[in-house]
Amino acid sequence: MIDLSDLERDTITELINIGVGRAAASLSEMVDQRVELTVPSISFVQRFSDANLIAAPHEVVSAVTQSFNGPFKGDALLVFPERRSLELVRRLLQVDVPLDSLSDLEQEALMEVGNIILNACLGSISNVLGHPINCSMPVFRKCETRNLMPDYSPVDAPDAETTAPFLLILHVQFMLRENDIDGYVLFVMDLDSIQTLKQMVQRYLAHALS
Amino acid sequence: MSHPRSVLLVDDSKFARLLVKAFIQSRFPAWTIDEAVEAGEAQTMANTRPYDYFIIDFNMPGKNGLELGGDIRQQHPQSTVALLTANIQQDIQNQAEALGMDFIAKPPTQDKITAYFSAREQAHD
Repeated sequence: MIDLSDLERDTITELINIGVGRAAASLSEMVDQRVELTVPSISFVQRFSDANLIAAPHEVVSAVTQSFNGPFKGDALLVFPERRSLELVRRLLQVDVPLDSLSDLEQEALMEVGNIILNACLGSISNVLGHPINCSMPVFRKCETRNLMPDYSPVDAPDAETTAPFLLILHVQFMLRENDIDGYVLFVMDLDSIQTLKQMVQRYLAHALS
Repeated sequence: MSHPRSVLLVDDSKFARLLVKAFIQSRFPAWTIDEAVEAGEAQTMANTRPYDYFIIDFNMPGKNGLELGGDIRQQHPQSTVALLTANIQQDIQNQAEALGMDFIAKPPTQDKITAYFSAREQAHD
């Protein structure tokens, strides 16, 4: 079972805040407008589909996923509604591109945005904790929200534990008001990684408070 | 104004190359800007003709930008090599510095790219 004290939970939220704040600054630079963020929410679920952030499970979204691997590992996702993604691409291209090549560039552009945003986020967390984190190449997909992550189960979990949550999901929403574009960033980590992150946060707190 | 420079952009993202190329061209219209999508292609191109600048992404299929940058620094010591990356981790910045590479954090913007090359050109003059 995952047990986080208020201070540990608060510190993880703050770490994500720093990461997403850096990511928002990068996005803001790219689209040349203010980016608003919600406070990160942390939830523990047994399966990805249990996460209550999936308010519209059948909504088609554009998603960029990057796996990260270091002292703790998991997946980082940048997700936004498919219907607004061309508008975002138009905003991102600060140079004139013929309209017909816009959709050709859509996937390329969104992958690069995902790469920049997720790296800004993970990179600043790595810098705070003082441990390198490796990121995989970004993968782009269009899919329904409920299929963003596979619903794998813990194979070797003892029976008594199968009802225990084993995924940590961090969710932060961002908005570009001028263009009515919103999306969110997700971090999904398994139980082992949460324990490692918890230990690193404890060490970080001990060091910071000493 | 100094003579027109040549730049090789190495990035697997077509979108990133398109933006950076446009930003350089708008400020330095006479410069030659070539593109490579990965390290192998970049090496072949660098062996065919000299480049004044190499602007290299970090996270690419095949060799990463630090590995390629290290090779280029050895093979073409007169060239300026910069890592242009979204990976802002201190560790990556330190490794780039140790290899004698400049570090430019993505996203590329007109101001950032112009400022980088202008400063570099002034240092050359």
